[in-house]
Amino acid sequence: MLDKIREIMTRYVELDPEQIQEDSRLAEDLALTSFAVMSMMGDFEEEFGITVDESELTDIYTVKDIMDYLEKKQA
Amino acid sequence: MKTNELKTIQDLIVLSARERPDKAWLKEKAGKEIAEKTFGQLLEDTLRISAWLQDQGDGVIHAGLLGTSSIAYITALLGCVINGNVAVPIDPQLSPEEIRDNLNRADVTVLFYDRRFQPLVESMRSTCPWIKSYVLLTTEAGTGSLGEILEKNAPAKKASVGPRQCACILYTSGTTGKSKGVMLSHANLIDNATCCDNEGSENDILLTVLPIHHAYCLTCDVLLSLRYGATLCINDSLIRLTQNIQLFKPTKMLLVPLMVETIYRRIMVEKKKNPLIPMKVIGRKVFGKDLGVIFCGGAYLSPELTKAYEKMGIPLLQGYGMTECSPRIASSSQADPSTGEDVGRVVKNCRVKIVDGEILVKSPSVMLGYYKNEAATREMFTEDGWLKTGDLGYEKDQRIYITGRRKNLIILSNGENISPEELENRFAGSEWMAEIMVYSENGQITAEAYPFPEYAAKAETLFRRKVEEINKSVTPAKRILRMRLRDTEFEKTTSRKVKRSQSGGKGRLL
Repeated sequence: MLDKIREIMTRYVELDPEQIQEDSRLAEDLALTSFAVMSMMGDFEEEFGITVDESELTDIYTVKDIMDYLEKKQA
Repeated sequence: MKTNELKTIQDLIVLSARERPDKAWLKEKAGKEIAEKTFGQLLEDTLRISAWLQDQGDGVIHAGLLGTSSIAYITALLGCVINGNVAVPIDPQLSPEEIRDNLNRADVTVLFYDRRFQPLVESMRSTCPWIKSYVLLTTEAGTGSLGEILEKNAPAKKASVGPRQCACILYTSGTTGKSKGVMLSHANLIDNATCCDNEGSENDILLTVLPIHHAYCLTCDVLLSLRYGATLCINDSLIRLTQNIQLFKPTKMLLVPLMVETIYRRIMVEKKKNPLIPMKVIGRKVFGKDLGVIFCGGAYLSPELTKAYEKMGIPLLQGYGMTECSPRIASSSQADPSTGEDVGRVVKNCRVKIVDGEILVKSPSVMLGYYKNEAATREMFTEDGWLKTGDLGYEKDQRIYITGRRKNLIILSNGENISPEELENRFAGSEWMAEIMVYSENGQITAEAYPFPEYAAKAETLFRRKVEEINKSVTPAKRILRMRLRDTEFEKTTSRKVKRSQSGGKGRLL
């Protein structure tokens, strides 16, 4: 799961996949804008076959939060 | 459409229905299908809503709208406005307390809401006794829904609406931390929707992406597409923008710099991975082959970005405005693009002058005032009636150049205006903190604190904890992303006010 997330995230940040850690903070460490996070969630929708609801994204701060969210959605 | 026949939004709806009754104006995704509403249906449905509103109380009704763009939302908004009632679109990202406060201060007695606000509405039924009716924004029939109103009410007769009547109250950030309700009249909005010539055609397909509670979206997406008989497609979520571009194949889009920047950054990452693919090809892959132009406003747009988009073959046209001006003050077009340094040419009927470096405006688009806030309204105008924009700049050959801001607002690249005081007030009650200042640094909201010396050792932990707590309670755009801790007081003016422009950035970055 982490590898897939890293691959998608590198579409938005100029980093090597291994530089993206579970505890990386999206805004502070990866400099992702709120709009980039939204667009990225659109990619996850397609990749994981889930439907993301905008209102559920307010608690997502870190890569780990994304992993937990996607796992919950797939369950 | 002859613009001299347009005096009110009612005229705009009636004329567009007369010219193209059967053409689809609005389109949105509905499961696997695409739902549509024609110009003719819009007129009929808005008059049905107006008929229902007549039964909701005496006099002019103030109707709140809580949700994101949809066919139902736009129909309800125009249904409020067509016969002289007032629409109050609320920012759906606000906290429940702020939503209640905004509705209360605008004297809203009817609320249209998206399904996702159902839980909030349930709690409001007991806590907001001033709201008499709630309407679920869905075209499906069902008790308490917009669908039911459309089914059960015959269209009202057209009422006489004066151009000076208030059509909308839109909230904008106040510099004292409390948002203010900008009253825009029919004449204000019509003037702004007709302040440029030849800026659209019936062949245009617009994808509306920006929040509908913003004047920019209301005027330049909704009213302009009505004026030209263009098609307005609804982007249901920013999450699905790329997919919606592929689906609706827009020819025009209105975006804010944040979006333009983010999309560009993504394109550049792609380009680095595939250096042989030309920029134009990558651009077309992302934006579709039909997109001819992007209009950009709401915040500073760098000239480099304009040039980069040019390389992709997509003109990026800049404008300048504010909610109080409905919103456009200056605009650019493909025939008359900005040079990259200016923010566009002053629009028709608008006069601009510079006093003490500040841009002042007089135009038929300038608001009626702030709702029930005469003191704030007075403060916004000079004695001879010029609106003070708070922006510093100059005008040359009818083009506006912005150099800075007089007021204390932080303008983020997504066009959101944030009052630093609003965030500073949230630190109140932190016993460790002597002084706090919030400002923008490198485009990120930054909080800089001076702790009382006895808390120096624990200050960092306490500061981080407090910021985390605040960030959980505000919308994502308002989150504090940088922190600085200082060991000296902020520089003050003689009246002991923090010198905002000189004080920030001296603390240690955490």
